[in-house]
Amino acid sequence: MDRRTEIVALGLAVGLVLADSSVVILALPDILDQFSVSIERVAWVLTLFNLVLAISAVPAAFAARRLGAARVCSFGLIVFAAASLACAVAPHFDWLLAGRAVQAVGGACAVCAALELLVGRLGSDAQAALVWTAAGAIGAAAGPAIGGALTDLISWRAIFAVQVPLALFALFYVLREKGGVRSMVKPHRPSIAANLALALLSAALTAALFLVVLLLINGWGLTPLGAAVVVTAMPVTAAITYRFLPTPPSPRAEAATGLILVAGGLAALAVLPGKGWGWTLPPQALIGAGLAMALGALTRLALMGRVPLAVHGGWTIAARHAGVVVGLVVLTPVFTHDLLVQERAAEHAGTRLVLNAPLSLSHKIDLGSRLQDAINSGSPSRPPDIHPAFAPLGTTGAAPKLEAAIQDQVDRAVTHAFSRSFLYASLFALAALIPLALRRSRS
Amino acid sequence: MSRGWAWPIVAVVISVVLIGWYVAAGGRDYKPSADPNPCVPRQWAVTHGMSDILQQVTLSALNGAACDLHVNQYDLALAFTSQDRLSQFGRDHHISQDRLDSAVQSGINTAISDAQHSGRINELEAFGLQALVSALPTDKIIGYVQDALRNGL
Repeated sequence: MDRRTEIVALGLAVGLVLADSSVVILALPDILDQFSVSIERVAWVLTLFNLVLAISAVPAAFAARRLGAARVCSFGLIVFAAASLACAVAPHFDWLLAGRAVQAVGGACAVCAALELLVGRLGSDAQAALVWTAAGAIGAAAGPAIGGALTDLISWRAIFAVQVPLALFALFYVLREKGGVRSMVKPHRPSIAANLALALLSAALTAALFLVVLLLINGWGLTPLGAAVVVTAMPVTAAITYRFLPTPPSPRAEAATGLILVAGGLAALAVLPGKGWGWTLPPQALIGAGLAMALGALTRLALMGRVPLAVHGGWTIAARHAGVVVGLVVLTPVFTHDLLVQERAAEHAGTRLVLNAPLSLSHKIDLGSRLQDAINSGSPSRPPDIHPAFAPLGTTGAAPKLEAAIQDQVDRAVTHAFSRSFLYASLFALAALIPLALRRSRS
Repeated sequence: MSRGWAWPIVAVVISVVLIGWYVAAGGRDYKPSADPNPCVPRQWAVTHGMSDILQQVTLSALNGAACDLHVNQYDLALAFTSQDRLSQFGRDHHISQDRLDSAVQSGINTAISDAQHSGRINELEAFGLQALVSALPTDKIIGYVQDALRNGL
């Protein structure tokens, strides 16, 4: 069998599972509409997957060691494919949640066992870790873009449907694998510093991956396909960094560089100077480059010189996805609160503009009630369309200027609602430098 | 300096340059404009006819009442658009009807004061108007404001 195709199949399995932690983000508004559930409940489609993956990664890695990596990886891919199919045809919301939890268990088995299988194929722990990390990083970064495109072109169900043949393709090659059972040496202790840094980096990336797409679609009104194109900036930069950037002299320097770039990109997103997807590109480029450097280097630090590799790979998966859950748990209430505050600020600004506009009082009253209707009747997952409220006032006189001024205030409010969350995410990335520094000083 | 430090330093420089660029382009100020303090006297705009004057009176009175109640003037303006919203506003801010009546009186006195500071009326006219307002029943004034907001002038 072609060795290269086997490696691609294993990389695909890893990328596919880890993309699932972010792939549904752009589909959440559609899922919310279809099942008529609250925003808090729909967020569990993301949170539950990451939580179960974090919990089951280390036991799955031990299972791979005891039962054989090929067997556990095959089992994981079959469970993952079956659960993906169940999600694709989910008749109600609880079914979808159950499917996501089972997907995560299967995914954990597949990802952790794939690392052992890559070692067997590549003959080197370092090479295997590199391919495994790169596949996971590109999968996680590309997830929102792929999910957005599928949602826009077909349906949110297509996200899960396409995973079935991809998982079966990987399974076809894994079933031909033999062995994968390593010597039963006493496992080394996991690297607390590297795994803690990975968790904090993942919490920061939660904002980069999830909040950027929310801002583009729910804040600025881009279509999921348009947003999907914009957020490809991150995986593209990550891939370019992997391929072309010279490697820093040590993994610690590489990790620190990556963490600083992620923090810088997120901090820049906290001070966006205007509405427009173009403003998100430079910060995304920084985050993509930082992601490639920090994720790769921290994973190497967590795995380097430790056996068995699958178990330590399991610890990195547990740390990363626990970090995603922490990011969601911490940032969601901050963002929700700020959104309410900014809605109020936009309402005040709009009222002030209407009251002070050079219009007759009767026009102001009519306009005010039409604006309220436009805001109340709009979709909760899209910005309000205020243009129809101005139609009766015509396109001459003060009305167009007033409309532009109110729209500007709405855009400012929506954009500013994300600022604090991006800033906190930036602090998560900077906090990841602490365990890295402590590890250095101890060593 | 070891080569290991050079990479993080370059990352810091790149990050600072990007953040600095965004801040210089107005990133820190890209948020809804802050509400003006309702307790600061309003300068009346140029008025043409009775309708404009009544608008200026209404806006100054809103500021005065909001200042007296320590609430936002635009929340108060939205509350005056219906009796239901006004009742809800009173409950949300723990404001009794008596307190609201006194705030409306205070608001109208603010409007007279703003008109005087803007040179629209003289001191004697201001004094006369304040005496007249203090004699009017407040519920009638609130009813008039609500009618005006509902139906226009």
